[in-house]
Amino acid sequence: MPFAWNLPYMSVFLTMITAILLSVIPGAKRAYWITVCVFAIVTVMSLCFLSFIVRADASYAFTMGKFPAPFGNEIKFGPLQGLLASVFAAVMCLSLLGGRAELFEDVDEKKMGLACVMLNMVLASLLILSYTNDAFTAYVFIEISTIAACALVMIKDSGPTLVATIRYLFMSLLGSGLFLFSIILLYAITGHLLMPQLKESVAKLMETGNYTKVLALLLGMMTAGLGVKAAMFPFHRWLPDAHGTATTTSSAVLSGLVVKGYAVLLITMYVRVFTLDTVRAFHINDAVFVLGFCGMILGSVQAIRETHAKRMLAYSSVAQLGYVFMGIGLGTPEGIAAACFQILIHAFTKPLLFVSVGRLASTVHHDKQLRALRGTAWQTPLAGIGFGIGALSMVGIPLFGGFAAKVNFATASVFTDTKIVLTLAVLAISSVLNALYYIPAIINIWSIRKDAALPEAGKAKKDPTATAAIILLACGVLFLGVCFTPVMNIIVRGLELM
Amino acid sequence: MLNLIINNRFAIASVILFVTGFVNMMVHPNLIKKIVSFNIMDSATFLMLASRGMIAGRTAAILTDGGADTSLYVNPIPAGLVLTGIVVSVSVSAFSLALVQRIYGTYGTVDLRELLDAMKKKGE
Amino acid sequence: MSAFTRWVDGEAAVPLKTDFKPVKERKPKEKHASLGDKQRLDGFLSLYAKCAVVISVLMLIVLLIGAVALPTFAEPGNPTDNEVVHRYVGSAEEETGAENVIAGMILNYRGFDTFGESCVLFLAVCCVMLLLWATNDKIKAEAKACEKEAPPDVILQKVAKLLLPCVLCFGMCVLFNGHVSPGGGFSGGSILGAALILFAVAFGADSVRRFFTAKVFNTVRITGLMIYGSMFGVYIYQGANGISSNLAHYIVLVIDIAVGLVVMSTMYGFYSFYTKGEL
Repeated sequence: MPFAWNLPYMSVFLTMITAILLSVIPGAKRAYWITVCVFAIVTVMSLCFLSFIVRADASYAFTMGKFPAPFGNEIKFGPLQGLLASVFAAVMCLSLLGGRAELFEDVDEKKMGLACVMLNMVLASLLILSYTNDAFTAYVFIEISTIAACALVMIKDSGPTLVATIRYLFMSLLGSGLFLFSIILLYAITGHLLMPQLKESVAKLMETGNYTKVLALLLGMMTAGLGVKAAMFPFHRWLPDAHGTATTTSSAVLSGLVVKGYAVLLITMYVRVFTLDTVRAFHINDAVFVLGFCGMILGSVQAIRETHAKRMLAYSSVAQLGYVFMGIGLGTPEGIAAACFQILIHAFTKPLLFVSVGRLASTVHHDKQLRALRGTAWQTPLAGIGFGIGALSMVGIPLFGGFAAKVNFATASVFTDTKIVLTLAVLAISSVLNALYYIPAIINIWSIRKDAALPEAGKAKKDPTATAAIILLACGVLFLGVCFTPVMNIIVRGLELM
Repeated sequence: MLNLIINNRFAIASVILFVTGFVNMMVHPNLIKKIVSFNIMDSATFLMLASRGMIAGRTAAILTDGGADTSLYVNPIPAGLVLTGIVVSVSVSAFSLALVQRIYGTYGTVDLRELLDAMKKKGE
Repeated sequence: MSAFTRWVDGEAAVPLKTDFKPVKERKPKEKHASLGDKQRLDGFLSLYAKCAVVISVLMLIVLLIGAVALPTFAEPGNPTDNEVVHRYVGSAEEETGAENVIAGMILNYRGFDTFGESCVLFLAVCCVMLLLWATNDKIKAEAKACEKEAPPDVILQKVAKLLLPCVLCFGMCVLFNGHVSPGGGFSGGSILGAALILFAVAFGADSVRRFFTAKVFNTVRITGLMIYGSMFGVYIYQGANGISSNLAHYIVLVIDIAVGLVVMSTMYGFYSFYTKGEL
């Protein structure tokens, strides 16, 4: 076995062991920079691994211990997992850099180490959620990601964040409870926990028709459980509070990455365990499609009514996750590939927007009402440009990443029989709705601050790390928007090999 | 019908417990009661899991002088999974109770309605 | 000025609702508005409760149908009674050196899950510390309000003196024999943690602090987890790359003890942070 196949498990252990050690390392600055370095190392490791696995054009099961499936834990990786891991690690690193100034203001100096523990654990859980080949490992790491994500909301220690955290925590617990119950039912009717064996057993059950009721039930529960955690439409009410009140780094990480981890796990379960035919047979994908559809429309409508910049971005995340669920709901490999691409592009765009808003708001004493942000782009032009790029990408202007994602969804819908009209219509409507709140926001931040009631905007302090983060994230958005074909090829090949 | 119910008595009991926990968690405005209902929900899943491992007429999977005869022992996997589940549930309860303690310190209430009122009054 | 021009002008973010009047003008309305808000909130919550009940009844019916359709309870030959179970029971002793098949399973076959589980426990302590560790005056004041050290109680102290040695011995016994008899790291660790808590309750936290300081707490917790993490990391590397070694034979015992230490300090840490906001 080539050495490169050890890289995924090593990157997971690196982050987890760093997390354990960081809880005792004194010094806020030291903890912060160690975390940045570890994330950078994990990014490099994942990119190396990606280049190897794309060249090898295969997927491997890696035993976590001496015993292969179905006896021991296992992870399995192919091109898609490598790509997701690289993007997750890179965006984590950039969000951490981009929110540096605000992080140091919001977090108690003695507790910075603990905040970095949470960031490391979030990355570890994201990596495992995309690599795992074992349903129960997925559950354990869902819990790790739940606790760490809630802690990331509450590290900014204020009343509203505490209340937002507890609401987020209860919704997440509901979700993981449903997921655990569905895994137990799956174990009861198949007797396995490892995905390859689960797939065989499920196929056999579908053939013989035994326990189909239980299978349908647990498939629904699993979808609902992961849907609650990934803010699928009727369960999205916790998201704006949690993501809108947290500190910039946390908002970027939660909105851009954490919710995606659950969507990736749902895709893995659908493709690797149940197969899309089973999902279609029970019409679960139709339900997901409808919920994604509603999420796209209603998330945007609520974002339009919002006057707080970060809450507006949070509602926009609900809409963007609606795209992901719509793609999964198409129930075809093309739809899922489009959903994966949307996950990647949103992972770059949303942190870019959050970091830019944090930077803009730093000139007006962190007042994040849209009204207060008026004209702030002239103080920090780069953040203004970053916000513009992110917003235009969300609206779906050609050459920006969001456009490529929408093209993918439109092409994917052609391969379905019935959903093509609905998909194209909702794509058009949601683009208009996105424009309705993003374009005014861009105009707002670039117009002249003439209102007498507003305090004068101060000069922005120099913040080289935020500058670097904005530039790199914007490059990511533009790169995915211009050359999306090779990325799509990796995703499609990865799904075939999954 | 009765036979079916008796055959799956543990599954049925655990399902009823699960839904009890679920509805209480959604409806109760008191945060502490929400945490308790979450624990009920978790216990229900553990009951379900533990009952899946039972095989009539066999003993716990700790090898004694009988050696490794597989027809003597029950399924060890659910026991291990329940252990994991319990640890997770303890951790989450500890976390949420600490949160409630801080919320009480900040707003002086653990009732979700009063909490939202108090937040509105503070203009947050 | 129409809403539309204001929108284009960038003054209002949205033509739908947002109305940026200065705060002063809105003030007279506020009382009324907040009343309306309260009624709306109450209305929403009662509607929400009704919906929740309806959803739960539906869920109960669906779940009951599922539960009745499950494989019969405790019957040999169920889907769960398969080759995995036979392998675990049949070769756990030989492959992991543990007569307690469950300990062998969670610490060796599925050891990565258990590492994740220990990390959940570790994260919970970190979260409790993030919330309750009294580093600034605000939290200190809150913690003071909760702290009421009871006066020493004679009955409690006498009973504790009698009980503590037994509890400690029992805990050690469960911890060190986890691989051959019922018990193991998690159960043994919680018993030891309970002993520490009993000690603190009976003789005051200061007497625990004489030997269990914050430094010891951190060292024990981190060392335990690091032993587990690094040992299992090496074990995975050997296992996946086909390097033969006999690490598997003592991994169960060592990790069990490491986990026990972690659980013990975690349990006492919870108690201590809840009551005093520090160790």
